[in-house]
Amino acid sequence: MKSGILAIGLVLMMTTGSRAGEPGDEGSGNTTIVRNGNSVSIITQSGDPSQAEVKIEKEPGHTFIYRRSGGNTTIINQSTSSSELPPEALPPSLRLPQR
Amino acid sequence: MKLGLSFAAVALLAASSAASAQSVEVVNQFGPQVQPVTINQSSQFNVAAVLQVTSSGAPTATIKQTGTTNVVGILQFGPSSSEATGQSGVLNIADIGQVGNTTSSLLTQTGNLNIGAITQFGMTNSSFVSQSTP
Repeated sequence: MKSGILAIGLVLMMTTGSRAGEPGDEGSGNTTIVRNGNSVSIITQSGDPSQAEVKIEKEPGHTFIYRRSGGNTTIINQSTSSSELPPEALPPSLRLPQR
Repeated sequence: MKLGLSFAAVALLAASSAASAQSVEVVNQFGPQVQPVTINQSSQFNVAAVLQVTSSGAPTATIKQTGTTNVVGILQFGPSSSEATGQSGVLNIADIGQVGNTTSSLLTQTGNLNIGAITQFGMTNSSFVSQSTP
């Protein structure tokens, strides 16, 4: 009987852990892993994974990740599309000539 | 009069100790090749700002901060941009921007309040963030 309750408890814990914080493509619990083309992000935060706030936006060439858990906050923006890069963000020497 | 001088001396001592409790380092590099940047800070209040711009080199920055409040700002432009930051304190803030073919960022923060922001524009981007509270 005790082992049955333990098993149910373990299953509940595992289920909660896998839901917690929407870990992303991979990862679980305290870790969020997001892959998008040639971009990868791995975030590990301490705290209760069930209380973690995770937002993931994935589009071709663009990834946005927000993860907050306890006193930890991470914001990641990744882009493989040069068109998203505002020209003024680049130093003049690195800008492509305008046609 | 003597009492006034004593107060002045104490004020001066306090001011000097407060100054030594702060560390601010700013590194700006421009050119075809840039040197790797390494910053170690262990004051109470640490600020590190790094700007690296290169057309053919590989901007690299390594920053380690240990203090009550730690702040890092890194902006890198280069074909292969990489940075590694370690912060340990009560309040840790890191803001990292990278532009290049390959961008790589490693951020480790240990403190009561940890904030990390990473923006990467590249053909290949990788970010690894580890944050932990006591």
